[in-house]
Amino acid sequence: MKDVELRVYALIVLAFSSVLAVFLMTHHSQNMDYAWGDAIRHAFFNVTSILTTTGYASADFALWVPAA
Amino acid sequence: MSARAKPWPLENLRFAYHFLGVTYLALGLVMLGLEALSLVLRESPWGFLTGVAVGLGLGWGFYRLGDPRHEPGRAEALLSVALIWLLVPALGAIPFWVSGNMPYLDALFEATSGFTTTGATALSDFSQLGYSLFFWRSLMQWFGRVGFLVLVVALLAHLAVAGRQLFFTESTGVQKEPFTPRLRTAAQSILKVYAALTLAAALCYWIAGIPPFEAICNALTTLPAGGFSPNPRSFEQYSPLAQWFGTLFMFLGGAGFVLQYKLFFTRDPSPS
Repeated sequence: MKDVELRVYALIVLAFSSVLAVFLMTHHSQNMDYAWGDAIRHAFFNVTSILTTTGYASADFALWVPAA
Repeated sequence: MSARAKPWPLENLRFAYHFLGVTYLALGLVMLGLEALSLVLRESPWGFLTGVAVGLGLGWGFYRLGDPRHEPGRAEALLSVALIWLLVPALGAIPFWVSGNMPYLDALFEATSGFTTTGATALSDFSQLGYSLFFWRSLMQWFGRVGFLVLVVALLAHLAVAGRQLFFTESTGVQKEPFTPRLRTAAQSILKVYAALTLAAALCYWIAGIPPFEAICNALTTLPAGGFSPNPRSFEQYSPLAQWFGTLFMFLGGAGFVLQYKLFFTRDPSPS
């Protein structure tokens, strides 16, 4: 983990995912009720997907609350 | 390099023709393989057949016009790259247009999105494409990223070589080489990592319960950060483990390949 680019990249993914995970756990939206594991998984998947411009989705994020 | 005299503009593009010809011939051969796949699966063979005919036909024509010994100037090198990005999707769109029940414009959108690894789709009904077309759709993104990586390395090498020649104009004994050995090694190591990670992703997806065909297609689009998936629900219906694997390989696909080469293939993980 000496490489600066990799370190910053990993930190950004980690930071955004953590924020989103906490958000998904605390803000239940329409018929969405995430457990700890699910929230963390969906947060990491979607943040990585968007950050790397891949564009996969693991959940229908149109149903999340707008702030998520 | 050559004198300023330009007898006829098209005469001066022999490198661009050669480059385009080789690319079209290569794509024609890939589509020939997919033609075989579509025949085995008893899907509409006409799309890939048209693609093969156009690719090999035009490719052969351009190849005959071109000359690999022609040393391209900076303008011609850049023009070649621009032409490739326009004309490769134009060829790649043909199978979707002929066999996929799509208007040519939609097919062109899909192919451009594929080769540039954008990942936006013009598909609304995922049942309109057969297996061979979905495989081609994923393969486009995989090739798109390879092409991009190789183009960057080759272009940098070429411009660097041109710069060096300018610098050493008067000196003797400087070899004209399209690739310096160092850059060639860099390109090879990048491709090695890319291929190895794709294979690993396909295996992991399969282990995590994704059906084999979808595992391969998804692996082909995960590493180039492309995002085409043969499943209209993307990763939604796959197992949690598969989604974690997806996260891992998306992350690796977004990280530097040269660094990963050092990490996985050599004993020296320290960055240079």
